Amino acid sequence: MEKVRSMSAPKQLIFLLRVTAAAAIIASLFSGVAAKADTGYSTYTYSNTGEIVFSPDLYSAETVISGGELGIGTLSSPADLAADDSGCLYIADTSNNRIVVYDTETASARSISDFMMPDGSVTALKEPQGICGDGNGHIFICDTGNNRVLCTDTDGKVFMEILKPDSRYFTDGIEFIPKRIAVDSAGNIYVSAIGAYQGLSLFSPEGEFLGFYGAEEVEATADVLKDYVWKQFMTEEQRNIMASYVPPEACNIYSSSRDFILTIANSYYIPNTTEKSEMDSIRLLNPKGVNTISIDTASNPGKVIAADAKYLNFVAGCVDSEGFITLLDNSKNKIFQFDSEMNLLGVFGGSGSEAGSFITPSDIDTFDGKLYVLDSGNGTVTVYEETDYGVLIHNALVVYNTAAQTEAIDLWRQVLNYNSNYDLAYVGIGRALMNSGDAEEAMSYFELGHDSALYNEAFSIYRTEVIRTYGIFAVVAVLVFAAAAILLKRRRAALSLPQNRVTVSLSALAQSVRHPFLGFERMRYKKTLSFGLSLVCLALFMFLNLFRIQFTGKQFDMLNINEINLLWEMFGSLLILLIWTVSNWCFSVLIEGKATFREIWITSSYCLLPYTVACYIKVILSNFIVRQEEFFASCIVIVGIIWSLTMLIAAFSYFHEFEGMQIFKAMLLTLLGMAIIAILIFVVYMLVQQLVSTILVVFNELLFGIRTNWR
Amino acid sequence: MKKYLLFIKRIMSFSLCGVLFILCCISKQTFSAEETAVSVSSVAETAGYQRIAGDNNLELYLNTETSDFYVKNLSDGYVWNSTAINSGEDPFAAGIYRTELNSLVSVVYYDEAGVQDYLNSYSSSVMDGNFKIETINNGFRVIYDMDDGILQLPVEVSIKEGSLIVKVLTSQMKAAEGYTIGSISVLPYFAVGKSTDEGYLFVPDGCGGLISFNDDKSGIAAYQKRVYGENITNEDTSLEALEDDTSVTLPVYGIRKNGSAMLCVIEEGASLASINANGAGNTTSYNQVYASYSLYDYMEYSISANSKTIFEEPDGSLCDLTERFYFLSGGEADYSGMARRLRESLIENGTLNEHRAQAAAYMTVWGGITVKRSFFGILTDRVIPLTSTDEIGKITDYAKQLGIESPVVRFMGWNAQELKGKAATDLKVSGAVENGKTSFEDLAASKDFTFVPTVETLLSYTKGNHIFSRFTTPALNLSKVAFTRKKVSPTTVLEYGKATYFLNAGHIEKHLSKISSAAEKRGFTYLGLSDAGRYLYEDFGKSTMKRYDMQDIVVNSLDSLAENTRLLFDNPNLYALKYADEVVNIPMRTGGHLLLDREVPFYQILLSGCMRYASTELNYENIDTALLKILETGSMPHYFMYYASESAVKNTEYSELCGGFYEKCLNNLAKIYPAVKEVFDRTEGSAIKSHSCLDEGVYMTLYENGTAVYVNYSAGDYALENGAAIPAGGYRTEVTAD
Repeated sequence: MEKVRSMSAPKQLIFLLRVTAAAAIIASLFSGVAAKADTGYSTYTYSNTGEIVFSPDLYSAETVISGGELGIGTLSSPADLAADDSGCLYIADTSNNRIVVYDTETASARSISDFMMPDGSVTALKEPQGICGDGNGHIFICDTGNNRVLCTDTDGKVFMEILKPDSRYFTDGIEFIPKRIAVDSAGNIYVSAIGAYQGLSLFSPEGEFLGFYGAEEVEATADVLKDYVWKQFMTEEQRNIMASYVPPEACNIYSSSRDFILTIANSYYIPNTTEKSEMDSIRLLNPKGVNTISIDTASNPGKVIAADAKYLNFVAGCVDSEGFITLLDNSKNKIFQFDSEMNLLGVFGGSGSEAGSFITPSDIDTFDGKLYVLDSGNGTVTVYEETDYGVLIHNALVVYNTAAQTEAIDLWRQVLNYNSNYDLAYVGIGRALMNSGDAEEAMSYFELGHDSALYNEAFSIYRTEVIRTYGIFAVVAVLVFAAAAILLKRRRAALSLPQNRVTVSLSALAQSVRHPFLGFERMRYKKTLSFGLSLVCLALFMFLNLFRIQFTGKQFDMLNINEINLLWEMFGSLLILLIWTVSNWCFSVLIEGKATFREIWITSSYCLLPYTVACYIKVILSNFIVRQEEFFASCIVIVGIIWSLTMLIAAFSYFHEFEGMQIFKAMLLTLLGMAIIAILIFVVYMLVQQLVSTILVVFNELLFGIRTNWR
Repeated sequence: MKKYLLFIKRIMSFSLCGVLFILCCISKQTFSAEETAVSVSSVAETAGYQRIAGDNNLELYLNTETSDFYVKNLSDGYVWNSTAINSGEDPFAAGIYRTELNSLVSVVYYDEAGVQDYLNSYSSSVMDGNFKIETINNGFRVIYDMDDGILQLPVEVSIKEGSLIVKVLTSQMKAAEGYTIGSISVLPYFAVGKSTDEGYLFVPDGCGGLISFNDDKSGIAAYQKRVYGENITNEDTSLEALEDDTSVTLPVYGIRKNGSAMLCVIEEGASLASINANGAGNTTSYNQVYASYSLYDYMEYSISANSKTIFEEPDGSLCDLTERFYFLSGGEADYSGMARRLRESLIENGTLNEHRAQAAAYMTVWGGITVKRSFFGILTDRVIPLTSTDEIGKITDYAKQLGIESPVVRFMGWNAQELKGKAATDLKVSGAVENGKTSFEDLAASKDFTFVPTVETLLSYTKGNHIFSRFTTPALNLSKVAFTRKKVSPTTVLEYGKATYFLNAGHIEKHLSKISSAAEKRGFTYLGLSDAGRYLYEDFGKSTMKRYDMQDIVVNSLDSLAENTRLLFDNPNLYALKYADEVVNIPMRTGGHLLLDREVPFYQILLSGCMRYASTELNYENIDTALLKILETGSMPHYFMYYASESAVKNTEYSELCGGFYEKCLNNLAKIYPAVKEVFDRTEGSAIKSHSCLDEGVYMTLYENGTAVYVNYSAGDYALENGAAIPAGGYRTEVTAD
């Protein structure tokens, strides 16, 4: 500030101007760089594993309408936009205290700022934030600043004014601040008012308050419970910082042509992050006020979006006559389109000043196959038109969702010509093929479409076909195999195994598996424990998960083998056995167990064998059975577990020389010990991590100093 | 009686002059000059402007009190002012914008504390009288001393070869100790359009875009785009932005105003430049377009919770910034004229050569892609072949069946190293792609098609090899750490995937010369390049490599590479055009900035008659509109494709190749190719003379050989003057008299 003091008066003025304006200039100089930062593919979807996947454009931004070009002056922070069946687009031009009526046919616009009340007086709007039309020449305006709803004709003649309802819900202290508005085909008026968390205020066509509609519920999720517990330990200040769990009011509502109401309510951001504790609530309410959609339980891509959607802030949405749901986000300025079953079609939009990107988008609507996006940041309306691909995929989904699978097949094949990444196209073709009886081909399409439930259906049909054709051969093969096995067994009985360390410990293991009590008793006294053999058992256990993922039948699960890390799998199995052994050894010493560390390790890994083998059998079986028969395969695993437990009890009783309840006591203590060790490891891990990060920071600081002063 | 009248007339004219003089004195350097150009010059001379240089075409006038100047185009008498005239009356400009209206240069800088601030030549130097004017050969030099020595900046203005040269001598710039000069805007209000003027601004966005004067688009952010794409090693730019095919590849901009026009070509320092444009009513009441130059970089460096700004330190002197202004009049004074003038000058300096080409279809054929496959939890990279060398013949045979003769086959994804994520050094073909009996030599010898093996990544890599490591050869950022780039999720804006490294200054040249010898050794007659003609970045290694240093290195390397090998480029920057035999992905559209009112085929007019140019890939485009666009711009159609079924790219990192099954692509190509060939044959490959908009959605492209191509995007038929009709959504060719 010394600079300012030494300056003459005009210079000071210039300096002040500089300080205020430099920011603006600098911002404009560098704006181009930041705006581009989040562009990826111009349109994308999600793969079943959550990767961003290219998609051809569903829509292209054909025209961008601005107030200046229409001759009605620049729109100023317009908050809401609505299209109705008459082809008119209504815009709540909030900061200009007016509404704009845009005719999509003639591409002309006019603005209305003065309205004539029924008594002849003239009234003006104050920051109108919501608007909609009913298609019959009536416009409904949330005159937010004046706490009222005005219902007018297109010439600005008010035929009804809705003020704060005379109801017990709106007590003296509560104001009626209408923000968004929607009208259904019967003329019922839905108003989302600020602070009215009981739901939407529902008014009759005559303006009579009917009550609240479709209130948001607070579910007792794990997060809510966790926060409740945390709050007990917090100071008053900390508690105030945390968001309270009052259901949020809808930030935007939309009435679909089927009289379903789409409501969007925003969740809270986790403090100091760009992530939300849960994704925004998006509900499509039927006339009873019951939600009919859920992104979380939709097909696989839907789940992926739910994970990423915590970074988004949905502000608006619309539903077209075919049931396609389009949502608008204003944190990354993206547009998400779903079909009526909440399958994702594509994500597009973005930040910037190019056509098809936005500064602060505030609302979206659809009419005649086009999307209209209102950008309050620069006062423009972007008109999106369907591309060839957009038309195609919309048609395909409409036909598909009306259950006309066979008719959809050609459309789906054309979709694949454009976008071979799109899972649903494969599923669609697969369904059509299954309907026409080609189950084998259908299976390959369901596999490409990552739909294991449908794969299961097709597999079941295919298996029946195979059994019908080759069943007789299979029976013959089984008989031959059985005969061969009997013959072999006879001959093997005649064979005498050479006596060495390997065969001795192998036969000891075999005996302990067949007769656990007898086997372990002999093993103890003959000392035929083999460390090498225990490692083999462990290795079998280690590879179990990998084997499961690689070879489980696709009708059960379409797991992604690429997500498995071999080293981590091996390390995990090893660690569990190691902790078990350590814990068991420590505690059994306390209650006078006799087994050594080595014995515990070896016997424990032997005990894993029946369970491991059962699991392998289940995986192999899963390639031949359908989902409905999974119980039989599970039975094998249960037998394996019981067998393993029996072996463990036997090992405890012979190696530790425990009896009766002592065995169970030892087992419980061991499990307890494992938990304690796990906690200890966790604490040490945290400490080491802290230490490492501190060292890294110091190291970085040093390195930075060296690097920058090097030359 | 007559004497009295004469006397009265004289008195009146004298007093009129006196009044005018007083008016001018009051408003200092601003003077009323509304109507014609001639009146401007006569008044200007009395207001302190004097002729300082000139030739047969131009005259340069200077006001020594303010360092303002104007240029008079003698062919039409039009006057172009260096700053905004009548700036005092601007109802919009406030604060800093008001003084900037009178400035020849403005500067963004950082003081000792790293705080950003702003200077302009008017308020920081001229107002205090702290500037010096010297005369130089056919011009003048002004040295601004801004804010008592914070910055000393010499600027030279001269007339040379019929054009105006403005040179900012950044090499002799002196900044106060501890101050970093961020960027300089040069002549921000030169030739600006007022609200009473008619005309447009031209920016080289994509194919070229126009901003009409006085279109009320207030509220929309100003246009700004970096020439030759973003600086890759700048932390703020995303990889996608760098690969934006609508980036500015030509360092030019222009203005058409009241029937006269000006074209500016940035001759030195283009790689530091950004093109800026703004419509009237946003910050000032002027329509302006100008170049600003980013001189020194900075980055935010954070250690734990603290962040610190590191500024680039001057390493040697900077290159000068030179802008050449051409002034066009009459029929020349539009965007076609600008493109023609640029073409002429590029032919003159040897960048382009006049050459009449034949029509051809362009096919980008993908050889293979790398996918991650896991077996028992061990991830391995595997090359999945999409088109083997054998199958290229099958694709071209199918094309031939459909009537597509002698296409250009741009073969991608074949280099073993590139497929592994390594920088390509030896041009060896991956075994997974080259199976069967067909070798690259056979393909190159084929008479049925032109075979162009293409390497995409010469300058970046994700994995090291024996030549490039992740530690010693990447470009460094300002904190001297290897610069890396990752993919960014558009939904969460979080980074993911593998890190990409960029070759540093010391290795680019070595590497490109290796490619050159490898191409020679392996007998490549054609080689396609992608990033080498497009990427420019800074490297802060032992010595700083600025973008213009890299440009020099690349140009030198291309020079030797082009000696033995014909090169194909992918939407190259201007400096690479000299070495190009073929170019693909020349944008037919702009990036769509909201200020842009029209897209014009400026780039295409420039290339026409010199080089055949292929469009961007049309796989997802509407085929009817694409055909019209191709005919309008004189481009060649271009598709990407492969032999394998399209589900081969599913669940891979190459999901953007999803619509490339060759049968479908070729069927579409065959639908438009006959029309393209027919029209192109009629133009005989001659240059485009002019391009104009006849009506909403109706355009005419006129060729030097007299052929006119009309296209009609609109929904209604359009009748030409001679009665012929262009059907809605159709086209028509006519031979015109001239």
